[in-house]
Amino acid sequence: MQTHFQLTITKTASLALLLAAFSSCNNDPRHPGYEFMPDMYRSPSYEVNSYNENFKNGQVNMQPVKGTVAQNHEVYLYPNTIEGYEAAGTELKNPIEKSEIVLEEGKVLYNDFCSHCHGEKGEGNGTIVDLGKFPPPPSFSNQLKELPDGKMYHSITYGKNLMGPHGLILSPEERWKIIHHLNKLQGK
Amino acid sequence: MILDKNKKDNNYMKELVKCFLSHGKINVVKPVLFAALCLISAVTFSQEGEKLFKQNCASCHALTDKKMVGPGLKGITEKRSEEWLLKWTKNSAEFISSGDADAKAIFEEFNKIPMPPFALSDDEIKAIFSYVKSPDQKTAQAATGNAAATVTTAVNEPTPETTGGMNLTSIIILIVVGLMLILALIVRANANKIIQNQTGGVVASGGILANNKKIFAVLFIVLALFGLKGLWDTLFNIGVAQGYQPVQPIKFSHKVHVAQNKISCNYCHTGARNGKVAGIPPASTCMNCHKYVSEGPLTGTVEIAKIYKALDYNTETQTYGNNPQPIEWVRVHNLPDHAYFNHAQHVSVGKVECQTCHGPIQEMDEAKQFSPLTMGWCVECHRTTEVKMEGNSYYTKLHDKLRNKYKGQPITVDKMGGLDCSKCHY
Repeated sequence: MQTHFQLTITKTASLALLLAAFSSCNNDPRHPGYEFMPDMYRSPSYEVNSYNENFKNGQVNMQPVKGTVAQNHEVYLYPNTIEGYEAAGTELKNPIEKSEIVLEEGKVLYNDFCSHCHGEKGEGNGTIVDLGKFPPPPSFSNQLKELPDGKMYHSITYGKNLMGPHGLILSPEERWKIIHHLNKLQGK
Repeated sequence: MILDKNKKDNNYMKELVKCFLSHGKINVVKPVLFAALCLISAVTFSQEGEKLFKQNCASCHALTDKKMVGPGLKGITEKRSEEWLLKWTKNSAEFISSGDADAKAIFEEFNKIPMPPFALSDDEIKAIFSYVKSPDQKTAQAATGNAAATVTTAVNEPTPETTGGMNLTSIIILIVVGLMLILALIVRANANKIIQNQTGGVVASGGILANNKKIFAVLFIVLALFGLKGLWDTLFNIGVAQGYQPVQPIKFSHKVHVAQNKISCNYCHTGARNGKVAGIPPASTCMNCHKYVSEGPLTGTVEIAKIYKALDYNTETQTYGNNPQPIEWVRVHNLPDHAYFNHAQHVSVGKVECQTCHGPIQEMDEAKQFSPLTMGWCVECHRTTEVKMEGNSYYTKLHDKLRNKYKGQPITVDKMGGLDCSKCHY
């Protein structure tokens, strides 16, 4: 009787401890937890930003092949020089027609991609400028009032002075929409 | 400024002499007024310089000796003559081609990036350099980005929840059970003593366990139930990484970038607007700001240097090397491969805020998975979220049809097939 009881409690105790041990595994925020059948979770194909041992540095994301152009992007022929800047200024025209919708889209894009430096009204007083973290860019209603569309496009694409290039993160169409909004800020 | 002030001082002296001569005694009011005017004009002159500097120069030149696009301007007024500075500022290209050795050397040093000509008057340029010579301490700091520490509110040190192992409730329950056990044993021992005294030393034989059968039975049942609950939870959490907060290679803080600097989510996660994946920004996006901002109040300086290292960027020469190494960020959110999710569909079409799924990401120093990302969670949202139909003329016919079908009822995502299996699983 006694041994039988002791056996039972030993069993129960070990089961309880085992269960407790199991339950205590998933609370570490540094651990992603457990997966049931990971082959259904992990993509066999290579996804964006993932690792591929076949490529240099193991990167899946790669530079475009030389001489190719990504979809929705264009061949921009003006070189990143002063001459290219001037030429773009005189030759390039905004291919997108101005409309209410375009202006609205341009404003949304401007607020997302430009306003933290240039300020919502383009006066060079964006949030990071106000915080003193970044030097102020020129104002669209003052120094850049007469800046032609082509020069703006050239500057967004390649960057200018302290401004970095934004050609990779904004499609040509988006750049021209932003320029419509900039014209509005210039008071044109 | 000095020239100008001297000129005004001369005028003031003349005025003084004139007053003295004409009246035989000094008219106090006039010169004092004039002096005040001089002072105001000097102050506005300097303010004018600051304004002009910020508008025209600050995007390439720092007030310290820090190299940006062009050289830092600290001490420039001692280094170069006023005439030199005027010529350079008005049209540097012309000045260089005129054969000035200093001008040419600077042009060569800064990778032959020409400074554009400025149509400013002599007085305006002088105002700028008077500001450059003695900028107010606070503005000087701000303009070089070193003021980040004083201007921004202190960044919270990352505080990950490291309860490790068992959670708090389990620990409390274990302690309570342990105390009960000890208490029970003490009571039992006392009871044994009383029995011993009463029966004259005859005690039921056996170990602690056998003598306390009921207590131990209850204890182990409680423990087993508790364990079962734990097992249940564990099983239900398989494949759910809610709260996952991996250690990242760079201590990037969403709080600093989003809550303080007010940079839009879309600026870095460009894929969210028009792609399946929101995406980790390329290091070139970081460099749009961090080419200039190379220091931070707490860990910034070390962490930003990691971007430079990844890009093989030399801060001295401001050039990129040819040995870049990828930054190996740890993926936080991973939807199972058998479920399809598209960011653009939700962000651009559905107009769902980032925070709906990612929680208060703008308050997180360290990013973590806020939502469970389970199917139940997806379905719940599809059942309750109303479809935004305004301003979408392309689907007018379809929307009218839906309105007619569900008269008066809110049209949620599930009413237009948002719960179909094949919407997400194919």
